[in-house]
Amino acid sequence: MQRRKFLKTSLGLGMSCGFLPAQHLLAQDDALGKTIYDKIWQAHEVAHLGGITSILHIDRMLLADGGPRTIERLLNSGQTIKNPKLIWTVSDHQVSTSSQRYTDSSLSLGTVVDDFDSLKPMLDNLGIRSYGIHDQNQGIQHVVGPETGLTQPGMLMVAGDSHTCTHGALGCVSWGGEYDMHPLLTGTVIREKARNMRINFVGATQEWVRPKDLILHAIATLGADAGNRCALEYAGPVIRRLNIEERMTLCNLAIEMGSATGMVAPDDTTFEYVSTREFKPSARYWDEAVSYWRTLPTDADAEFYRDETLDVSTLEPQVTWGVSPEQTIGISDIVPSPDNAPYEKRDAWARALDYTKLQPGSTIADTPIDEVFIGSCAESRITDLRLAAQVVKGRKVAPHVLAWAIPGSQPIKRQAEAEGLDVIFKEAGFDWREPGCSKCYGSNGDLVEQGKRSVSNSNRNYIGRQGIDAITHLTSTPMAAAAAIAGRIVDVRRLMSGEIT
Amino acid sequence: MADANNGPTFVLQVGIAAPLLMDNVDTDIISPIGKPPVPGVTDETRAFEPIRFFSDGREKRDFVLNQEAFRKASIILAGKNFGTGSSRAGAVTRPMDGGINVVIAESFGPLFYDNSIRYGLLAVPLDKEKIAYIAQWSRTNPGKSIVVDLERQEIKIPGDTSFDFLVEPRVREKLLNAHTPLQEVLRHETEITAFQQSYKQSSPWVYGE
Repeated sequence: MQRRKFLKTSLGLGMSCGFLPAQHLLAQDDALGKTIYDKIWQAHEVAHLGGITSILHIDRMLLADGGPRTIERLLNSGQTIKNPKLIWTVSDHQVSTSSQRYTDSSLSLGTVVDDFDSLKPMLDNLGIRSYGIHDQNQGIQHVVGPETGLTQPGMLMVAGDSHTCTHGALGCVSWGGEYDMHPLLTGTVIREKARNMRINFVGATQEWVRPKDLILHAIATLGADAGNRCALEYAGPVIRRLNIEERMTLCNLAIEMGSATGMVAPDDTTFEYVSTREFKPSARYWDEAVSYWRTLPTDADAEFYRDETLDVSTLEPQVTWGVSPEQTIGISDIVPSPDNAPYEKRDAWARALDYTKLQPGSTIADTPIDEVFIGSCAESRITDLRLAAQVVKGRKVAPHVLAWAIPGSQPIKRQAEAEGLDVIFKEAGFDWREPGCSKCYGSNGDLVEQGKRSVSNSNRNYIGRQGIDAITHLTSTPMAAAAAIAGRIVDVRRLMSGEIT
Repeated sequence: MADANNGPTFVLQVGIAAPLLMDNVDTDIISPIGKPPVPGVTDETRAFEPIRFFSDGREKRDFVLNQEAFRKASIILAGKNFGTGSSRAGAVTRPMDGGINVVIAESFGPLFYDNSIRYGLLAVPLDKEKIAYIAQWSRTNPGKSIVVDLERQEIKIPGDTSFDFLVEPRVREKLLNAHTPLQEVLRHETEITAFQQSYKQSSPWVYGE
């Protein structure tokens, strides 16, 4: 299908003639197989600025907590918002996750609750959808977008938050770090085109091995900078078998590999998912949209700057031992020694172990823990919560462990409660809370206590990320649930088989 | 604080280069969020707080900017993936508040890189060997400056050697000429209007149709 061909002009701007005119590049491009990233890029390219930089049209701009005030400020200064219907805003980072938050707005950070309430008429008037805590769609932005159908295949979407790459699970191109005014005023962004990278996951995964295990393993194998200046496509038979929520976990951690974005090509699983969403394309355009989306997957003859294949058939549940997502091992592995590190990583490993207070040579399993966090844009969707509930059902959280479970959005919370998952969590001793980003990094004040050890199903185990001197072990959701029960890091498979309690 | 909307400039930096040759120095190290600051910290010393101070406010001696020769550094030499992590502006503006205007690294976290362009900190990608050379020179010539010249895309070690580097043409234009992104985009207003009119016709479902 030949769509959206526009004349692109090269700026020239005093540059040397070493750069090919854009028209030439385009003609050359058309002769080669394209990746999904190439196709979506080309469909949104408004102007080429020389080098690898272009101006791109935006299909969705997502604003978080400060969104309503930002829009108000622009309007008050006499500016006009371009394409307001393509903008939406949701409150997640700064909101309290306490059940008291609905009656006490001071529990949340700053004036975020009141802003969403008082500015809603202004936003409604512009056609900007907004979800404050009193709205039935409120939740973590990277849960809400796909769940409502505001995110769709083929789109180019941007937001401020770094985990915006999550949305790529639907077969779109998305990235964070955009919070300038020009996207709101012009509906465009300036961007350098990334190189194409693909990871093919092959083999049949074992029971209780989750997408988090796949991506932590990939980051550990390839490095936290492996995706530098790359747009990362996840492919292969393992990916095809995953549901959309599971694909979101993979794409969520694309940024943890240093990638510009993460994507899974859309397929029937994707179209079926989108077809049940509130803001899906109307019946009038549905067929046209789907037939366009079917053209997006990477061509068989497309070339990649980097193309990796990982056989995950023997992979076991993973857990991080250090302060970077690349510092990951299997649950039956021992904590590595800096003496055995690649030369250039020795210092980093020693520093990491100094912070996480683990002994090289000891098992990572059975490490005592203090807190468990289940939530975040990585994994807080209904698939994740069902698995966690399966693990904790009929069991009790270890007496010394503080355990939280936070559904990713209001719809997920309602669904979980309809299924009785909340009762299972509460009976086990979990605190069942309201949707928000929470302890993933604590900008709302939800922090891991100073110096305590946490098992978290989120995406970053950086120094101090979850609290001052707090130690974070990243795992899948079922592994975090199992740790809460055992009071230590354990293999969820051994807990479920009754081998350990 | 640096202001992205004012079209920050970068032309040339003459300064001391501090070796911080770690990989994956993340945004939560450079600029922690949501945690109370350690006692005694100032705007100038807030960057890198978790590796710069103990939680009681004492300085960590092994952190390079706490060493006398490098307290006044304006250039940081780093390893791979500097600034990996979140999109927070503070990962760029806090070091700038402390006088850091250039980071020379093997590679950068993508969102740190975007913020560096936005706020006018120059992020220079360079080979590991060259970074190691500059680091060694800086250690053996304490208090002496190097020159980072964006116009010529050159790092000069006075009386020693120089290294070429390459930044994206648009980045160089933007920083040398103090363009704001809005100015850059509005030069193409006609193309944007034409594109968006046509796009709306071809992709009505994107607009909620």
